[in-house]
Amino acid sequence: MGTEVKIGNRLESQNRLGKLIVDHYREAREIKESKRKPIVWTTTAAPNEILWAMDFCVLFPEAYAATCGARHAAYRHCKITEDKGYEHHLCTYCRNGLGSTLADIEGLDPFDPLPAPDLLLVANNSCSLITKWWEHLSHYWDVPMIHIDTPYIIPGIQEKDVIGHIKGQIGDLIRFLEEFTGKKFDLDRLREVVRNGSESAKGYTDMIKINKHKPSPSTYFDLMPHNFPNLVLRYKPEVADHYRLMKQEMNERIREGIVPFENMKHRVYWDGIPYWFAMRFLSKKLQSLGICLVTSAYSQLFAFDRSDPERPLDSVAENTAYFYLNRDVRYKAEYTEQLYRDYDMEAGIFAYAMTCKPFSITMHYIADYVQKKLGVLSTIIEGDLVDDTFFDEEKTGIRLETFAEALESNKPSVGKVVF
Amino acid sequence: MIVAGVDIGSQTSKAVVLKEDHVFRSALFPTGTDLYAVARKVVENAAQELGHTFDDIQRIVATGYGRVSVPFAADTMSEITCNAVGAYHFYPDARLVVDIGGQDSKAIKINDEGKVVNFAMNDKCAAGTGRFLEVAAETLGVSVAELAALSRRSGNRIRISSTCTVFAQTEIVSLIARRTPQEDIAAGLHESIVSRVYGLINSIGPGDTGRVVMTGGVARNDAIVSLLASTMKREITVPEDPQIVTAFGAALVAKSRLGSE
Repeated sequence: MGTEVKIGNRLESQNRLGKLIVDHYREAREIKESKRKPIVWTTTAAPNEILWAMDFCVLFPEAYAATCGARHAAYRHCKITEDKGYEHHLCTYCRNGLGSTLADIEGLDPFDPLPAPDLLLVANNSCSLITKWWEHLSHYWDVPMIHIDTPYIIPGIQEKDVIGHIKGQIGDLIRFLEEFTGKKFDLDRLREVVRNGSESAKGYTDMIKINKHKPSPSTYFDLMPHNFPNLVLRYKPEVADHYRLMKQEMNERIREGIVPFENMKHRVYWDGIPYWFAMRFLSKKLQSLGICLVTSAYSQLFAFDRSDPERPLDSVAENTAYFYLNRDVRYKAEYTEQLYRDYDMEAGIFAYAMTCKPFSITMHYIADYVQKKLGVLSTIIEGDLVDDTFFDEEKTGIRLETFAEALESNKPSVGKVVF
Repeated sequence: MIVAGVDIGSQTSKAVVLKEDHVFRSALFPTGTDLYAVARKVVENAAQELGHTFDDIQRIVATGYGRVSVPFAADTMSEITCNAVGAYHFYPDARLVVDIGGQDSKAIKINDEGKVVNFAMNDKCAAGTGRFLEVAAETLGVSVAELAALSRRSGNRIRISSTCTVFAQTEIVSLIARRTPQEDIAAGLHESIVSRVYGLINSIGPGDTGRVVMTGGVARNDAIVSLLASTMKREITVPEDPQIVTAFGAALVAKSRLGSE
């Protein structure tokens, strides 16, 4: 390193995040008990502002799956699903979600289950399987399901048509919800929700960008869980405060020369959904190799940065249409290339998820694209979102060690890297 | 200067003891379960071959799956890097190394300085590895060497649809039951491995210039080598002792580290 550095402890913001998460699920359980609001389970990039504006308790099975993976509880749910005859190669978020549902319904002790839904909302902008997953949830819980169809964006050709198509469905959704709840939709309340979301989104995206600083004050794995507030709680005004305080803390680290770990040598990109069960192993391994993960296009999934209170309905439709995973592979490759440039990263790790083909299928293309464009080294590791049976620590370790050895040998100034 | 590289693989452990620049001896033993003991034994053996003792060795680098179980090694290094270093030493014009070992297969792209620029290895599955051939040979009741000889006599290579080693075994049994000639089954099995490895090679953008070198125990199987060569439409060079290339690379790393101290 160029100047003397200090090694930082855990970000204080992690404690605040923990409280936000605990409070969210505690409130959801209280709502289930009191029945004071209807509960809806939804997908990451459905037009969820409409649900918040109509005062639903909104829960996200995908975020719940990530939590189960990180707490090493997903295997229980996956096994229940497989015991029912669902196959092992089915998306593990889906297996986790169906397993916890079946466990809850059959009294089998699921891990901190999501309170049961009264309604299901699904948008197919993230995944080609997810509608089927939701169909099964609808069947098991015996509750209605609404599907928002989000055609794939073909750049410059049918973008307006797609947004119009989604906006039309949002109108249908509102009419359905008015009938379902017996309440009138309030555009001013939506405007307020979108305004809060806009502030939250700005705070989130600004916070992520602080890692452009060299040396980065945090690793990407430290920042990644902070997508939760912008995904799940952005309708609340206090979420913007969370990001404001987090930015303060990170900027403070920069001023004081604090870095996340010793011997940071390589600024590296991460692509893909994290292997939630292996975060500790991966963090330790990467640190031992001097690799600091700086950012990921995965952050963009949770940006929702088109929110505009002056155009509440249009901007909700745009957030849904332009969701990162609904974009073409060329867009993703160019976006990734720009991240490499903006964050001055020298290489990339692409985390292939064996049961998440819609996400993983683009990885080879993107890795190859940035490698050719920028002459950077890429490595693809293999594992899965929450199912550790697809992951091999030894093989992953060898790949990462080889990757680090190649970075060292290809650096012109090995051992004298100025971060 | 006497240095050593020791490669503790899943099936076999190899050591190369290198004296000065070019004088070396190697040894190879089945890995077994006591990794420390086999590492010590294989290094001692290679040292003795060279007329030296274990204590004469000034620096040892360990590689392979069991690299962390070699406490007498000064350093560890991944087998992919060591393999590239070893292959480049023998063939400075090598640009692609294909290594098929007991339980893994790798494709390594190297540049004109012998540095790794891209690599891929098989996933958590024995398909496309030496273990696949061993299980298949056992099922057919022949040795791996006989399996290769059978393959060369095939006039009608059949397609083995199972890439999974366990299911391939079941498929072989059903092919035997249908009286499919052993030669044709053997040829199908070889093609199954080559097809898997060919995909791995293509995933790293192998380029079409420079020498292709094949290492690892499966490189001794000339039926695999010639089938891969015809699939790739490239000539493939197999070193005299393809199993020790990675250990040799580790010895070269030990030498360079000793020199830089």
